[in-house]
Amino acid sequence: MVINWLQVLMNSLVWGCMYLLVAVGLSLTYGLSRFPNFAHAEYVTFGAYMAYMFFSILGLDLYLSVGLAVLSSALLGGLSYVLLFKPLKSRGASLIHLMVASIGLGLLIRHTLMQVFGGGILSFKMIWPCISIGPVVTTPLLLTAIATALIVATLLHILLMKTKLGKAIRATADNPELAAASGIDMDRVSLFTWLLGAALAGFSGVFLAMRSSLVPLLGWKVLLQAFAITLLGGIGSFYGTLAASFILSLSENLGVVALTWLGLSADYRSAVAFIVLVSTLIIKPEGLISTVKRRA
Amino acid sequence: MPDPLMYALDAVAYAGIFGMLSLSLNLEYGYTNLANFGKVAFFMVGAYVAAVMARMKYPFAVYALVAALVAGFIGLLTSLPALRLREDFLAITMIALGEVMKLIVKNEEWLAGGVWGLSGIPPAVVVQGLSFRERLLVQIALIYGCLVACYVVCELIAKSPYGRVLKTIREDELLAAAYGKNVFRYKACTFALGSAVSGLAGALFAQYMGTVSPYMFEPTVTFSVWMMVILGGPANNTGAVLGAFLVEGFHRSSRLLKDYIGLPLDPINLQVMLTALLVITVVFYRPQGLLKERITPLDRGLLKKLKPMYRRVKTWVRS
Amino acid sequence: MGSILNTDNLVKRFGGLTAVDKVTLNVEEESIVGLIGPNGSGKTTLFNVLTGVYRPDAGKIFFRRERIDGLQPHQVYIKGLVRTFQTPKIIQKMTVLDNVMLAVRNPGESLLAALFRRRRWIGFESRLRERALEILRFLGLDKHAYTPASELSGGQMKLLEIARALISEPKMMLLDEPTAGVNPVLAYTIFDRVEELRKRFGITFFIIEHRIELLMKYVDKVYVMHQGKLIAEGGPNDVMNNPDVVKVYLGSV
Repeated sequence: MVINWLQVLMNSLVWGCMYLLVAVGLSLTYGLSRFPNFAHAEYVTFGAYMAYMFFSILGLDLYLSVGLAVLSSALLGGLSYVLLFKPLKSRGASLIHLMVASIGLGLLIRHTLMQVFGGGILSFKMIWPCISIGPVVTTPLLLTAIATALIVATLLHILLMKTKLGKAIRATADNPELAAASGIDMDRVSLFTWLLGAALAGFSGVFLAMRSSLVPLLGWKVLLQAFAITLLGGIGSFYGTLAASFILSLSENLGVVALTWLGLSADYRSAVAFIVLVSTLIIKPEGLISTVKRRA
Repeated sequence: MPDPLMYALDAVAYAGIFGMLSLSLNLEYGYTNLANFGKVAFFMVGAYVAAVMARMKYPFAVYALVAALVAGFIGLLTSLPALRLREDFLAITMIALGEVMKLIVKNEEWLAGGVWGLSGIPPAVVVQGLSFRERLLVQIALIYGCLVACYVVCELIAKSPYGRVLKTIREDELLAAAYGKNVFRYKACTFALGSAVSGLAGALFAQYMGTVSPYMFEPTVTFSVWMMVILGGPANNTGAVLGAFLVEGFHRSSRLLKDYIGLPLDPINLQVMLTALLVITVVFYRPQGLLKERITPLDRGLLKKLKPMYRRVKTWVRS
Repeated sequence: MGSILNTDNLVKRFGGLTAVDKVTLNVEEESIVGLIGPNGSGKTTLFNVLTGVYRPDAGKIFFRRERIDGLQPHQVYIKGLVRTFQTPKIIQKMTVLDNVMLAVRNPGESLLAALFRRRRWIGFESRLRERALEILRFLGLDKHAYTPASELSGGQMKLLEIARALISEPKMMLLDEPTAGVNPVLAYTIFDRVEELRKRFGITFFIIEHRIELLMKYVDKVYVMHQGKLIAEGGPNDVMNNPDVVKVYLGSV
């Protein structure tokens, strides 16, 4: 079996970028609000369906559609924080209650989408020409995904390091009590993080759906990877997530190579994420870059 | 137009099976604060083991026991690494585990029929010459017999010193350890037992449905069981069973609601959406559930009732 | 009388902070030893290390001539070393009686026994209940035996902590501020009981206290801790007149 290693690297790069967009939001909200939001997967799905609605149903311009989809996802994330999670937290809901509520929210979003758009497979009906860069094959869509992820990462870096809001986010993620005592408006920081996280998730949904097809389980299918990345990188750490996205993506693609070589189904690629997840929890639960103090 | 009585009896049967799942989760979460978000995985294991063995014509008593033991054993294995994790990590891991197990089942056709599952599972009790309705009643009798047995077991545990330790672990692990309880052992034991009960429920489910397939074991099942425990009231076994009845009733009504609303809604979507809203409402307004935990001293009630019964059974057995 | 508990250069660090700094101490059997020091000097941390809640970074701990450092808390308990907590750890969702009874290793605590061998532990359980009630009577809490523990007052919760420690019939008890927040009369009662227990059952006590005048009336020996180190040890009078000790306390006020 001849393996085009450069192609494997390319695939890892592409998937790493897409995973990054999904996982950043999850990691940041998890670190800030101190619970894993299982509905995050549905922000991904929602973004994709919104893009579909604007582009394929309403016939709007592609870029406009994507922009609106991203904004709608942000809105969804913001609403879920303001209407559900913030009030629950202020009522002292336990971690388990928050998790259960987030699962419920996710199911609500997913099945509402299924009701409106039908539960079947939808397609953006786009044909992407294959571009060959040397021995590597890719499409304009995937290149755009890479470019988007790089731009987003750079912007986030600038935001976190250079702006007041960014410093506030980092401070709150690191030590919420101290941040609150220092006069940082926790509410604004949280709301911004939730809006941003959901927006990026929605953005990734667009890429994921355009790459293959649009199904209701679009987001759920990548949730395991998102969690593995979040845990590996360190909950709440943008830089950790950045590194972990590519580490996982590379591992997964190498895993697919191994699976094919062993004659096993490529469906098992999710098992790689599972192994990464479990290994992280066993070896170093704080992840690569631990910003959040472990609750004793 | 399905016979409404059949529909109701079907709901009753489901409620009985889910009642057992609810009791098992109540033991794990309500008494020991273990966030078992992988309940459906053990349910599935029990169902598949039972399916395979039932098709090989083993009697119910045998395959139900094996299903419970296998599920319990896998629960024990899972607990060894998993229980050291804090709640949210445990939840994530368990959900992921369920998905990976489904993945294996879907892909390994030789093992469990792949995406098509296994069919032709004979019912546990076959009595000749019964009508469909009567066979359904026999099923319900079997299911509820097992449910009652599970209920008794869970109550005995809750009212025993073992249950006292579980509650202590739930509230304050450090205290439990400081007073000599090997916290990890208790958690693992409870998790294994809960998984075994789930496996038994799975076995009953398999022979009731007649077929099993991976699509019957989505994470929504785990979610529904959590709803049952939260709604009924954690750490209250009666509440767990009550929660099962209420949630199953809610599922069924919301599916029927479609006929009365007149909107072109898919019944399953409607069911999930309303269930999700229900859970969110409960978590919001009454997170402690309907029935409260009983803080009674240990040997009142059940023990006093059981002691003479135990003696009577013993003398009956001896005669 | 031999040594029941002694440590050798015990160290515990948290990041850059050394909470327990080369602590070497010795407690004789059937003695009452005090541990005093300003807040944050590491006294509770020392208790946590002794009982296995934290693993020491260096040093050894010997209990009844056996090494116990590295053991888990439940194993330390089984060896006969029991501790109470500064803030009473009361299980809210259980009765006072259950709170006390949970302290003892009960044959009914095994799953199989709970379900199948009920006869084994039913007798034990009723005898245990009698003992628990007796102890509660001893401490004046018997009227509350069947009420939920959440309804106790702060002082009563402290007594519950002690009841729990008592029922486990330890060889040695580590008491962490047993009279904090308790009225003076009750405080004296608690120490009187401690002395009685030493005399009747030969239990050794190692007690963290802030009520120094009270403590000095009952202890055979005192250790003084400051910033993780033991800065003084000896009889109550010697320690109280030790200039280093005075400086540490005056400085911290």
